[in-house]
Amino acid sequence: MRRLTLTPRNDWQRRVEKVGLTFHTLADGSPYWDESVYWQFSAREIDRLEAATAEIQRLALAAGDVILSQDRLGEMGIPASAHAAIRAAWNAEPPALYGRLDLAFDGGSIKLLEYNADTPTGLVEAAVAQWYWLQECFPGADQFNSIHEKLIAKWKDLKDYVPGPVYFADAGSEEDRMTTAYLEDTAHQAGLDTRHIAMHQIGWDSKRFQFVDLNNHPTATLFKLYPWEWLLAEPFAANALETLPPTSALREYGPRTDRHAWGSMLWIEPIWKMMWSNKALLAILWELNPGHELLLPAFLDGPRELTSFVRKPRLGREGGGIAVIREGECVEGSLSGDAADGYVWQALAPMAGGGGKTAVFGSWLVDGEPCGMGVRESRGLVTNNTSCFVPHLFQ
Amino acid sequence: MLRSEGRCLRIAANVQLRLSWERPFLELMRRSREVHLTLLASLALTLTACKPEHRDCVDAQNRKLPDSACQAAPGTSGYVPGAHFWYGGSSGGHPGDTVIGGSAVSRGGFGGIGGSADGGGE
Repeated sequence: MRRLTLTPRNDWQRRVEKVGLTFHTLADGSPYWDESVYWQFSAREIDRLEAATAEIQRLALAAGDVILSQDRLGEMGIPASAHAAIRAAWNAEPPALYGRLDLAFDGGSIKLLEYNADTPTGLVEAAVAQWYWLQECFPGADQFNSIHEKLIAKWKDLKDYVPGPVYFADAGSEEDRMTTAYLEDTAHQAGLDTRHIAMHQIGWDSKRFQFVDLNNHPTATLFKLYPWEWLLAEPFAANALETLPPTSALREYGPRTDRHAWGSMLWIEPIWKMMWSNKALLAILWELNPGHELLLPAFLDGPRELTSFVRKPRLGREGGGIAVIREGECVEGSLSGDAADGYVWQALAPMAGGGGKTAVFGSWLVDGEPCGMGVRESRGLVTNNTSCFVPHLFQ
Repeated sequence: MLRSEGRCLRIAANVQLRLSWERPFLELMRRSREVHLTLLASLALTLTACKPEHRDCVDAQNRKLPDSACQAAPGTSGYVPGAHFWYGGSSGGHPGDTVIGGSAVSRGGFGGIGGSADGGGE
């Protein structure tokens, strides 16, 4: 694998805007989409990344069973009010669309850094913008990126099973809005009836016991680019849970047979993704698979014997609250403060880099299958919302 | 989210996209055969912020009930069939008073955290 430089296309801003990447430049004027460099891989390296992604997905599925069978949701900091719904959703297997594993890869070892299973973004960049970049700059090369067609295929599979229309909701940031617009586009191309709604526009009809759109039509299916831990901390939390039947209700009555709102809305991603998007998963994976070549030592109770490690809030987002400790010294972030939901301590991973930057490889899954990759580069070791997206190819 | 003395502010922006691209595909490649984007996406970014709505628990005839009637599960004490919350209406404030105006639909119960952060994606 090599990090190579390239002269950006003259009008790269206009080109990426045309394919939906309108958020290509950071607030300080520097590029977020950085095509002055790219990563080149061999086909064998891509095979390894793909296989590693599939293996980690297998480990995560097994971990989900253990978390529930050993009643460890509380230990992960997941509110008790959600436990029954998570258990029911895990068993009922409602549709789950996508996720992104963030991997460290230096050409030798591949290590899982975290699993963004609930609300991953970087999708327009990975699925669309870098595909068009490849067509224009390296039309004879290949790219680990069939995300677009896999998304459409998944929606086609779901077409007869999800009640329509399918609403796509986000909190309104430009990146999130374009991400839901893209996902809506793929669903639309698969033949589904789709709508957009902002999260704050969703209504709760207390007479019909269901969520409604701005025209008071029931929102029978909702894709929400909005994390479950936020949903469950907001005024409609109880209503959301009311739409998710507990296991006992499914067993006794089946869905949609009341009380009130049970099963009245299908949520994508399902609530069980709270288990995987929580960084406590990293410690549980290590506990269940100690020494696994794709995992880093990680713990819930402190760094133990680690002298170089990363301390991550269990529910941290966009690199927030992360501290990097190398040989006992904090070299990035801060150890001050106290995360409300606790921390995970994870060993430092060997990382690839170049040009003073560190690279993280975001490996995408659609319907649980590996299907593409996006590369983020950061000045430090922590990927945050100012880390650049860099395209890739392989020969 | 924008807040101003409890009043709702509304900002709207519309952007339209129509994208199309196709190319021959080599079967062995790992990239998508095509990335063809056809949806006319009208992006309405509407940000509102409101005070929590006033609500009353009412029966099927919109007569005011104690809030506990709307919070009790069926089969438990205090449960009143047909009891539901009613938002934004007004009444004399006493049980049995008819609540006028308003709606059974409440909004703004999601999006508060994301509206003040960088969004929900990561």
